[in-house]
Amino acid sequence: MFPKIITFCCNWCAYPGADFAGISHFKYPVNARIIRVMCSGRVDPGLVLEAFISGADGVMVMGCHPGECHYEHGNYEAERRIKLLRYLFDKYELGGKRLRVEWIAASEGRKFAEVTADFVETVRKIGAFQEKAREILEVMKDTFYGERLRLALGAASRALDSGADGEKYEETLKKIAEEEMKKYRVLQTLRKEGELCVRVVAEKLGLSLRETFDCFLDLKHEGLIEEGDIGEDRYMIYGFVRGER
Amino acid sequence: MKEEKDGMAVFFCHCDGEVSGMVDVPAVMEYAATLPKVTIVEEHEHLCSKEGIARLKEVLRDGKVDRVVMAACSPRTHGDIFLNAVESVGINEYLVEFANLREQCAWVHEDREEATEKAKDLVRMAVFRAMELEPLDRIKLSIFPSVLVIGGGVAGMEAALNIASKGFKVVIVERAEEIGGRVRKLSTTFPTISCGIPCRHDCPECEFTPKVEEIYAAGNIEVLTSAELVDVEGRIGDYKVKVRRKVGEGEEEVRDLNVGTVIIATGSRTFDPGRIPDYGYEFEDVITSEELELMYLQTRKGGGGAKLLRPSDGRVPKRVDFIQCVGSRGLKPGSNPYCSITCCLYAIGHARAIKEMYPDTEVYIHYTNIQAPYRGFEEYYAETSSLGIKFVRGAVDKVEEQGGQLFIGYEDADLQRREEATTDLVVLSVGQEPSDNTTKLSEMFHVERDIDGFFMEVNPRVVAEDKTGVFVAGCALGPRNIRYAVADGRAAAENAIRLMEQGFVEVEPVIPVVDEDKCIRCGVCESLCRYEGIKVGEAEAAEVIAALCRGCGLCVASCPAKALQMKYYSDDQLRTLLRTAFSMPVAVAEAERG
Repeated sequence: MFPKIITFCCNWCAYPGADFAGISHFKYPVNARIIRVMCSGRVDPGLVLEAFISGADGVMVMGCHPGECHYEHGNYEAERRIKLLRYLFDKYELGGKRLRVEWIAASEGRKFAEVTADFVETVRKIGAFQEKAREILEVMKDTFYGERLRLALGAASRALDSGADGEKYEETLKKIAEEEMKKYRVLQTLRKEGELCVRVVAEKLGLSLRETFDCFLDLKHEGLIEEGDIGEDRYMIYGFVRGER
Repeated sequence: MKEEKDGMAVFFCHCDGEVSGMVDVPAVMEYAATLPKVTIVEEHEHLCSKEGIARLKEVLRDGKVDRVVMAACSPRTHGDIFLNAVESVGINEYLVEFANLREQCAWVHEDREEATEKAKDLVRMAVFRAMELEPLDRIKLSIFPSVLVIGGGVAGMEAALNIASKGFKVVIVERAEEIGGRVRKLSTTFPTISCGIPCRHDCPECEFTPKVEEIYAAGNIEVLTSAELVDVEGRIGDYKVKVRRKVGEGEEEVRDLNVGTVIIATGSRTFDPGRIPDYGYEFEDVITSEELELMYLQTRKGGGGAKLLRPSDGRVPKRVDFIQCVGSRGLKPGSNPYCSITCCLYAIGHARAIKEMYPDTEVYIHYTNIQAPYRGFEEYYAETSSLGIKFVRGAVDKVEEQGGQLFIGYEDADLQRREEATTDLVVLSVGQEPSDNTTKLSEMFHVERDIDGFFMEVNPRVVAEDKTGVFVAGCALGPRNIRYAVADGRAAAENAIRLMEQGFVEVEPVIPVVDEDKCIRCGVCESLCRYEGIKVGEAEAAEVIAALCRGCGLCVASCPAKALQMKYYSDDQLRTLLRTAFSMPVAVAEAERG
């Protein structure tokens, strides 16, 4: 079956909305599997990425309409995460449209069916993931389970409530996510290939020496890698995944 | 010796063909039997029936299983029936998982083969998640036997009297100087139209005073007037409330109250017609229905009954035009989208009273359609038409004053023409909208509001559990007339009484747990929680306050250190669903291949 869709539904609006589609006998394609959570805000972005890694071609997160969240604001958090994921999916050419946030009221059975049908079509048109996608998804998963990006995401609503500029904050989130992606790509390379030096990793990943070096430092600082042999210059420092030598 | 139970039972419901009409149930059952841990696969034509439940219990009693999958309708439909049955045979209700084969499969697909394959997927997902579930116990919270009633209108008064009659303590907090709410401002009410004593003075006090007296006479009702809530802390069953109260000229006191439950009966406010220029509210002889009531109450005081006098010159008007739906039903830009329910009835009542007092005065009612499906209203309305009151269907597009003369322009939809006429008095039948303290109270107690800003009417079929102990009654829920507001007050009181008589409440244990070694005390969880359900205090790690947590899981999905896990919706349980959604999980598939 293609495409395979995972739809996260909140318990209060979207899941009853899906039920209402059934009660009303509105038909939609068989491709989607619904996963119920209490709130769309429960949907960890890491789990969204795990859905893709487990074989999904598209993921939807459905929650209550803005202002109607059963838990007041979980839906906004869901939206913020998916927006950021979409941005990264587009940037790394995975197809941002494989991700969608939708607001479905308990009475919106028709909308549920229509949105599902439309999403299945959208993902069908994008097609299957390419071979290299899996590696990027793994890196992205590490990024979204990583402390730095989660701190920034988690602090967003507090920052916005105390007057931070929403657009600027979004840009900052994107920047942090991209930096973290680089870092975890370096980690992934070391995981795959064992001990390598900064120079080699930089070449492999098409990164500058400086930024690769920074990634090494960050990873070492976080205790994810250890320092190996040191070559002639600072870019000949070798690193390996902690405990793997 | 304790009996070893580690199997899983999967029950299939045909739902009288509703499921089996589109899904090949025997094929899915055969598939379910091949899944790990599944030891029993059962089917029934109608699982939620008395026979179905009996069969379910019988199988589970003998079955040596500790986990159950219900492959049937939505858990939101008959979930509770099944959970109760499962609990009754000693299996923990949190070890039950559902495969929604009816609402989310059979009813939404058209190809039997495809639907059957999907049903297998749904059952597989449910079986694997069921394996991951843990038994949980409900959390028991004590209920302090005292109730706070916010708002002393008819709904709040009725609630207070009912609660007090059961011997519980009640505190009424009323913003105004006296209790009684809007009803105190009404000259007459339907259906009695008077107090029953034919003195023609129609004083509401005749009906109302005894009710107020009852409140003050009840030993266990404390009434705090000129008072407002300033702060609330606590949980269902145990709220600490601060009330600020005027006690004299410029003097205030702050009272601390401890209550177990709260009834919000703050009513509504009437629509300000100044917000819609078409209605000419700036002119002296254009008044609201509320101002008309006030005029009656004031003129009554002079003796000889109520009088209708034009504000501009104190004369009896020769023509009165009532305009309906002012601020309601989205008729004009700036109005609310909903019907305010009470206005048809009160306008007709006023029109009749005017006709009775001044038979020569012409009375027009401009309406779009008459709405009031109350007992006795249709007859009252039909009778009114025969009293010479003119009902004109159509919109009013102009109310103007020139040289001290009011003009009204309106459509007569039945005659399909537009009319312009001079008139002496225009009465605007203003609708209702949320009281101005609705937002504040809803934030204080975390009670939801609906799309129109009123407190949300709780549908017990949708929201099975209340974790607030806060009940709402009367117009705070949306426009309603007196008898329904009173009925609401009674229902809210019953809810509070039930909790107090039981003395405790059991709430869902679906809350996060903190891994203290992982927690970095960053405070993200605390800042995201609107319910104070998780706190980072002086302790080593964040602490979950079970009584306040609503179980949404937002903190869990946001925790930077991944130090939080949700009971019943853990990452591992959700991960299992992801990994089994489209095929067997890799590890299981490999093991099977050997």
